[in-house]
Amino acid sequence: MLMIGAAVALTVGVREIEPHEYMEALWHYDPFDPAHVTIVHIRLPRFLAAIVVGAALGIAGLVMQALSRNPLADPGILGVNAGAAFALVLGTALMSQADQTVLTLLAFPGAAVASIVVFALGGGLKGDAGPVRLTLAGAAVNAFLLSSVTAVVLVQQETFEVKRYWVAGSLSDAAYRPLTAMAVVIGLATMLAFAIAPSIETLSLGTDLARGLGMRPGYVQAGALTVVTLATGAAVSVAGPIAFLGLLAPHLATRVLQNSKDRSLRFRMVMAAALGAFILMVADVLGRLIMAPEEVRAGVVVALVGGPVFVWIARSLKPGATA
Amino acid sequence: MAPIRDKNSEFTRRKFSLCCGAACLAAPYVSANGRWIEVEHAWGTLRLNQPAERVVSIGYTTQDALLAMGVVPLAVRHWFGENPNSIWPWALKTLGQTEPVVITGEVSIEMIADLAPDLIVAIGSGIARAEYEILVQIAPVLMHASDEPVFGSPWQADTRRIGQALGKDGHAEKLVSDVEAKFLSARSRHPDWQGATAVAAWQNGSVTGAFLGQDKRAQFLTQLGFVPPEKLRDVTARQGFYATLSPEDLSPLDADLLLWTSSLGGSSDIARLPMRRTLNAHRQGREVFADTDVSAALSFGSVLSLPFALDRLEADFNAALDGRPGTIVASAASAGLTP
Amino acid sequence: MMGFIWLFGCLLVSTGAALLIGQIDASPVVLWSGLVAGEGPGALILDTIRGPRVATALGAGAVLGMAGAMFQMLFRNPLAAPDILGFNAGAGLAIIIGIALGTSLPAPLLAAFGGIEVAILIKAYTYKGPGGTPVLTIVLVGIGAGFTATALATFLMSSMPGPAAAEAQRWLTGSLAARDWGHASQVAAIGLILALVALGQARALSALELGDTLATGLGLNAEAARWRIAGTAVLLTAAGVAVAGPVPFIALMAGPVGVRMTRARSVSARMLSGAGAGALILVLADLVARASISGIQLPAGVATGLLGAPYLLWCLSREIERGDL
Repeated sequence: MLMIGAAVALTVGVREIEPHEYMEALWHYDPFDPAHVTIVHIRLPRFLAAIVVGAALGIAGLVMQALSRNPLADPGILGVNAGAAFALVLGTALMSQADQTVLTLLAFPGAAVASIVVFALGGGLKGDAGPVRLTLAGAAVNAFLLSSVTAVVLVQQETFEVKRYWVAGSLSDAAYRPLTAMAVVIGLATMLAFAIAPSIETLSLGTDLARGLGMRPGYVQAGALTVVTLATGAAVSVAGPIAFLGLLAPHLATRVLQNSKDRSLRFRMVMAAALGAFILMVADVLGRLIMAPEEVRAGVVVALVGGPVFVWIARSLKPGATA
Repeated sequence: MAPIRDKNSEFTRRKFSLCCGAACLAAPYVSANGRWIEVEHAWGTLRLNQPAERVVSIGYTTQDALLAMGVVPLAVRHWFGENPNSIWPWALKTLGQTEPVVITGEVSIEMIADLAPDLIVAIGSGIARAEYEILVQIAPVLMHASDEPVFGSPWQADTRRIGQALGKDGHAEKLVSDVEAKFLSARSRHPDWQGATAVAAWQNGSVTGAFLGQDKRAQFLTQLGFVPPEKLRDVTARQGFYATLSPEDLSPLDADLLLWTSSLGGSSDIARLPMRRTLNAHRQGREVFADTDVSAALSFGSVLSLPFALDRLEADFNAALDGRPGTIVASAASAGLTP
Repeated sequence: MMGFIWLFGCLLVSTGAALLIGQIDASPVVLWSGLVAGEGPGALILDTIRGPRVATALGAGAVLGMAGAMFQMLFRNPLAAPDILGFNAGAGLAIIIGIALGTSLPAPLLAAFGGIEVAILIKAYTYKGPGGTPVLTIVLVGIGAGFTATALATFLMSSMPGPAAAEAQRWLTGSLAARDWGHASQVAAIGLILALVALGQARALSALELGDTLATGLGLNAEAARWRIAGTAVLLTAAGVAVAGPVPFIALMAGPVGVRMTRARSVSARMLSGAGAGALILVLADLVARASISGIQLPAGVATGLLGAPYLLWCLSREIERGDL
């Protein structure tokens, strides 16, 4: 499935490119040839970004849902999207410039700080960040940050342009963002996720039960939140907020694995990662094609296509089959 | 606070009409004795019994026309930028020592009421009908004509309407013809510009686009005799103003003259765009970069900002179009765009 | 009871403050002479500029707050808000479509229509026959629909030219600009009627809170009751949005804030405290938004999150400390 996605992502686009040009682009790169530039600077980064970001969001979403025991949880609940947006808009307004370097530098810290704040306010510091508290804290912080963003945007209309293109994520900036650095971050987050997966499963049986089994819920929660923060923060830095992927991929994964024997969290993580990457790749390609030559941002496509798909799934969901 | 004007007691319903020539817009009337002014607009008719002196400008660009005619507005609407009093360099010398109040965000009706104006100019302000209805109880409000778009009325029409409301029709007419003459003389100085292709392009993050049709920046180029490149004419326009291009194919931008406008991103995003290097316009040094002030002047597109932009860009256009790739275009060089 | 008195007192004080404070300060003397004489600057403020605005804020806040409280009780989830049925997203989409098409209908009205339509769509789509629809399905479908609507709206907005998009943004945020007495009376009248209906449904709601099985045992048709109550709440939201635009977060915050202030327990008490808290938040938010920074007037929606959120967080932290949550 991923192979198909790869082939499609690399070959489909507005510009028609002959197969042999791909090899040429890699071995004899000519910066003045539009086809080469397309392959190396546009399609390849986007493909890699799709894998990295899609997987990150898929895993983060799954962890979020497992931790908060809420099938509606999306990494955005932790405030990462709002945090990044706020940091961006405020930074841009203060510094009066918004080139790609600035955007990158601001997004990740903004996302990270926001989620740390949510964690702390949700009681995480006392080791007891229950699902309800966490989601409420997240909703409150989101409310605060989004209102602040709107305030800044309305006062400094220049920042509106920044926000306008930020609101829905896109892979098109991938070439300018520190893809490798973020990929490393996401890799670390994934390893951590796999490490604590069994503990999260135990925790979902109930905090007290888990304590009785000798586990420190606080540590597990902190670990899970680190995973989500790192993964989503990195994803947001590379592609902007892709809302909804973190919500969709885990549900799809559960659906796909409904009849399989292995329903452990780890396996579901792999599935969610793969699905997330695939969906994002497809969304990106669709975005390039549906209104050519204009591009529809991948984030918009994910929501537009994913929305109805999600609704269809939700309708046929057996009660109790989620999380 | 000064007393609030009561509309009914001041304006009686005597109508004088003096039809201007057939070439005029259908609507406005000025009386024979010059004392009654009526201007029709999209949401009603403006009536003044004497030329306005205390004016509040809540359109995004209307302060320029007012200042050009020697009227300093009591309040100015902030659009963007970091200029003191939100007055850009091209309008500074008309300002003198006065400091108008700056209105930011939503139009604060209280602030306007407190200033006790005779006239509120709201062309291109985006106010809703509900806001208009309340503002009109404070002072007569001037809007765009009913056949003009809210945010795209031609600067000539705006200047003339404002001139009428100020009772300075003649002055407004002279301003308009002066600017048009300036453009005409630029055209005659550069016959090689006629029929050459030119594009005003923008870059926002990773999205590249071009201005088209009725957009002020595209009009600027057309007024100098340029035409849009053929490929660009095929690209669909969003509401006639601008088009976004696929990052894989920037060839519609490959014109004889490529004018990059800046936004908050400055020029570094444009400079870093790899696909740009494949354009002939780039390799032959035919790019021009409009910095913050010039770009703003182009998007204002007002009676004061257009001559300013022309002055700043003429030399660079010349350098770009001289047919010799070796000539360095000053603005492109400082923006890092040269090959 | 004490709690309600406290809430009412806060409301009175904030209303007074909202009338007195603004970009231009008006002393009580000026206002009083305006009230009495019916003319002059005081009258302009009371009658035309601030009076109707504050009155609309009270009304819109109240209906939004009540709707939010109802949703939270109905779905037994403190995060429930009309947005669960995709209401705000539908409202926003309607605004953007309206502006893109260049209609002259006021934005808040469009918003109300959009929201109701989405809610109806959700109901139609999730209707599975007399067997009943699990709550989770409704919520998930609503969220999905909401996301789709938001995506469409974002897409449309990114195709608008700059100033038009900025104008769209301020209506999307929910604004009380230029409200007149017509708006205030509209929301008051509709709100009052719907509030009575809602209070009439309080019994059904308390039964539902016990759980579907128990409720049916008490002789209630759970499914139908749920749709009725949700319907009332959606209409309440629409009434508020029709005059104030899709003001964010009030429906979300008012419930918990109201309960905190009044310690209400019964369903009808919680509905009323939600209404009161909603009114309080919106009046204060509008005051902060339009008057806190000299020379800059912002739409009310900007401040609703800024004000409500910290209070909610404060409630949260106190409840954590007391081990209540």
